[in-house]
Amino acid sequence: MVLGLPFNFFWLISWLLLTPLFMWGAYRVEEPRALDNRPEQGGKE
Amino acid sequence: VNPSLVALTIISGIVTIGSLVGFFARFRRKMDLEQWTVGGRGFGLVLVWLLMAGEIFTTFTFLGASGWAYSKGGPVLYILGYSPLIYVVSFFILPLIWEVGRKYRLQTQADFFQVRYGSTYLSAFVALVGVVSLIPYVQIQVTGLGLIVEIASFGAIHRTTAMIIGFALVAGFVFTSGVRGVAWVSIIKDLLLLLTAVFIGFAVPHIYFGGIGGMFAALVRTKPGHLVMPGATKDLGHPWYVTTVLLISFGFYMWPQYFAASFTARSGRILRRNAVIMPLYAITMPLMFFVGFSALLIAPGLSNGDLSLLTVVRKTFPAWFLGIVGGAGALTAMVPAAIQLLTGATLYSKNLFRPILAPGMTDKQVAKLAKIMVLVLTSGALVLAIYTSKSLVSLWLLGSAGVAQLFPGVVLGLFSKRANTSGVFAGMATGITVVAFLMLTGRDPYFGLNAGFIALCFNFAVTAIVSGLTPMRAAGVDETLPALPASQSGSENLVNAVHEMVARPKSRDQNSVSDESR
Repeated sequence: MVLGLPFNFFWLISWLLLTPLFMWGAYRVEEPRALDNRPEQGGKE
Repeated sequence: VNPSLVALTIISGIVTIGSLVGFFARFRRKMDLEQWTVGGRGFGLVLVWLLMAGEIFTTFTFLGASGWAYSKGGPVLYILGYSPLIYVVSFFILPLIWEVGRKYRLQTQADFFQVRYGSTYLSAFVALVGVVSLIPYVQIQVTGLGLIVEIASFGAIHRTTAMIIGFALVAGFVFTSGVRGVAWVSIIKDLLLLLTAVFIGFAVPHIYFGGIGGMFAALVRTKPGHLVMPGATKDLGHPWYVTTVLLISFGFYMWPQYFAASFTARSGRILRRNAVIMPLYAITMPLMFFVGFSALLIAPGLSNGDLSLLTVVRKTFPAWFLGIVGGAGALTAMVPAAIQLLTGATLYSKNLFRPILAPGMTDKQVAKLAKIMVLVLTSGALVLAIYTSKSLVSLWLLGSAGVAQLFPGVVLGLFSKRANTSGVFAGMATGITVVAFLMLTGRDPYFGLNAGFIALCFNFAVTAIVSGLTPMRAAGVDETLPALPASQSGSENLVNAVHEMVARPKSRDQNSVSDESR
C-alpha cells in the first residue's frame, strides 16, 4: 500500500498527474516549431 | 418533509437551470448548420475544455465506473489505464484534423473521410458506423437518467417516465441551441460533477472505514480476489486489460462527437493545450471507484452494480444532498446525450441521407432533417433503454469497439499518402464484421483478448494490404463540398493537398495568434 492505496492504484493515479507534466513539456517543444514557421510572426521562414 | 419530494425538487431545479442556460445560449446568433454543429469555429480554450469535458465525462463516469468497481473489481482499472493515453493521442492528431477541418469547412467526421478519400460511399459508411455506435452511448445516458430519478424518488417515479421527461428536455435544447448550448450547460454540469465526485469519493470511505486506506484494507479482508485481475469476472484478465487499454487509447477520439468537437476550436494550439490539461479531470474516476468499492461492503448483493453509487448516497446522506447528486447526475446524462444526438443527427442527414438519397438538398433542408433525426434517435435509444438491460460500461465498450474501426482510416489518412479508398473501405468492413461476429456470438473476450482490438488488428492489416495492392486514385469527389482550387479538383490531388497540409508545420495554427481563451 502507498498512501493508503494498493500499489497498482497508486501507479495508475500518479500517471493522471504526471501525464500533464510530460505533455506540457511536449507542448513547449512543439509550439515554437509552429511559431518559427509562421511568417506573419516574424518566423525564420 | 417527504425525502423523495426534497430530492426530486432539487433535481428538477438543477435540470431546469441547466435547460434554461441551454435555451438562452443561442441569443443573438443565427442558428445555421455551421453554428449548430461546430459553433462557428470560434471556441477558445475554456469553451473547448468545457465542451470536451462535458462530452467525455458522462453517466459512464458517474454511475458506470462505480458500477463496474462494485460488480467487476480489478478489471475496472482499465479506465485509469486509458485515461492519460487518450489525451496523448489527441495531442498529436486533433490539431491535424482541425487543420483539415478549417481549410475545407468540415462539420462532421464523415466530411473528413469525404475530403481525404474523395468517396461519397466511404463517407456514408463512416456516418453509418458513427450513428449505429452512438445509439448505445445515448442509451447509457437514457438509462442513467432513469436510474437517478427512480432512486432519488425512492421508487415513486418509474424509470421509464423519468427517461421520457429527461429526454424531451434534451431534445428541446439540442433543437434550439446546438453545440454552443451544450458547452454552456457544461459549466454547471462540470462544476456539480467535480464537487460531488470529490466530496462523496472521500466522504463515503471516511464515514464507514475511517479513510481510503481503511476501505481498501476492509475490502482485501472481506473479498481478497476483488481487486486483482480478473476480479469478480471469469475472463477479464491481464491480456484483456492491455488490449482494451490499447483499443480505447487509439479509438477514443474516433467517437464522432469528440472528433467533431475539434472543429469548434479557434486554433490547433487550443486543442494541444486542452490535451495537456484534460488528464487532470480524469481524477474524478478513481473517486468513483472508491465509492463503488465502499458500496460492495456497505450494500452488498445489489442486482445492478450501476445502482451502487446512488444507493450508498441515499443510505449515507440527507435527502437534499441526494437531490444535488441526482441533479449533477441528470445533467451528466443530458449534456453528453445532447451532443451525441446532435452529432448522430447531423451525420445521418448530411453524410448519409443527402449524398445517397437526396443530392439536391440545401444546407437549410439538411439542418431541418437533422432536427427531426434528433427525435428519431432519441426515441430509438429510449426504446433500447427500456427493453435491454446491459450494464453502462458494457454498452460503452460495445460502441467503442465499433468506432475504433475508424482509426486506421483517420490515422493513415493523415500520415500516409498510400492509404486509399479501397484499402480503408476493405479494412473498415473487415473490422466491423469481425467485431460484430465476435460480440454477437458471445466471444468477447476471445482467447482473453478484447474483441474490438482483434478486429482493429485485422482492420489495419487489410487496409495496408489492399491499399498496397490497388492504385492510389480514389473513387470520386463530392460536389457538395466547398469549392477547391481547380488544381486540386481530382481526388489524387485532394489526397496530396490534405497530406501536405498536415505534413508542413508552416500552415498550422495560422489563425491562432491571439485571443486564444474566452
